[in-house]
Amino acid sequence: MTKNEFLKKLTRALGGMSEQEKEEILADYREHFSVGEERGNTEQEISESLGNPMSIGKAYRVDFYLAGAGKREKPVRNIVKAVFTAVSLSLVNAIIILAPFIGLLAVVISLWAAAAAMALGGLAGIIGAAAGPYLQFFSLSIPGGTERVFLILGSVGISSLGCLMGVGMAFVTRMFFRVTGKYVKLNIEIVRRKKEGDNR
Amino acid sequence: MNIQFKKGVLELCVLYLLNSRDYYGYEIVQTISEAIRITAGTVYPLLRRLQKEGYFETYIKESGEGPARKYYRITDAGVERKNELLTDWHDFVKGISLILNEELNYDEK
Repeated sequence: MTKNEFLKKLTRALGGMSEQEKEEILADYREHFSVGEERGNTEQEISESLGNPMSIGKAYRVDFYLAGAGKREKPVRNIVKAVFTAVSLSLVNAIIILAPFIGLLAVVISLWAAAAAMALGGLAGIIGAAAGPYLQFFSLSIPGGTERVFLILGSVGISSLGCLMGVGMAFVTRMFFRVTGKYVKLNIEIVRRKKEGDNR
Repeated sequence: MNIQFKKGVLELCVLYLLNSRDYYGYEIVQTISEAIRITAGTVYPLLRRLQKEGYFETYIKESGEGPARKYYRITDAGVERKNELLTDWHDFVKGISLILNEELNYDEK
């Protein structure tokens, strides 16, 4: 293919990275073409020796997101990007990464919901048991005396459990993203090696 | 030769070459892809990744006959990394030789 065809395909294969990043990458190949032509090679020969622009673009994308997904600052965004890169690299990756990721994400979300429910429910219980007898619109008959005290204490307990669970979930969520990041990186590496083996 | 095997030593080759002198892109790509038979387009992504990891820096030099060229120069971190990989390589070759020798001795019996 011609130089411009090659560069165009490579640009497209680079996908979503910044314009500056893409320009720097393309500059290397523009220089490669001009030096090659200086030495008497045709655009056809040079582009053939460079290989498939699609695979080259993917290699850059993989490196780019691999470098990004490890950082702590934007874990959610980087994980999502890394997952999509991995999924786009191969159909097998789509199955073994996306499916468990979505499944585990659903579990994490529902555990958060449970923690929130317990915390808020407990809180409602406290308010209800404490204030109930004084407010007209509570249709529940709140028992008096020690039973009411136990109700309040029970609600405090549930609410505290909910908060503790929330704290635990924060930790679990962070670990989840970190482990997912490593798993995705591992799969990207495996596919990348295979793809470049095919490109050979 | 197996592609995975080549990819593994590619980083070592790049660093080793740059350790002896500065190269510009086309030069290093050609040198490596002729010696190891790997597509030229595989080398540039590696160069970029290694540059981002701080193993070399780049500079532009005007060329008499042609356009300006981007040169690669190894850094101290790059030299350290090259030594690491070189040690790994020697250990690897030594290990393989042991196994191959054992095989040969076994055949002789």
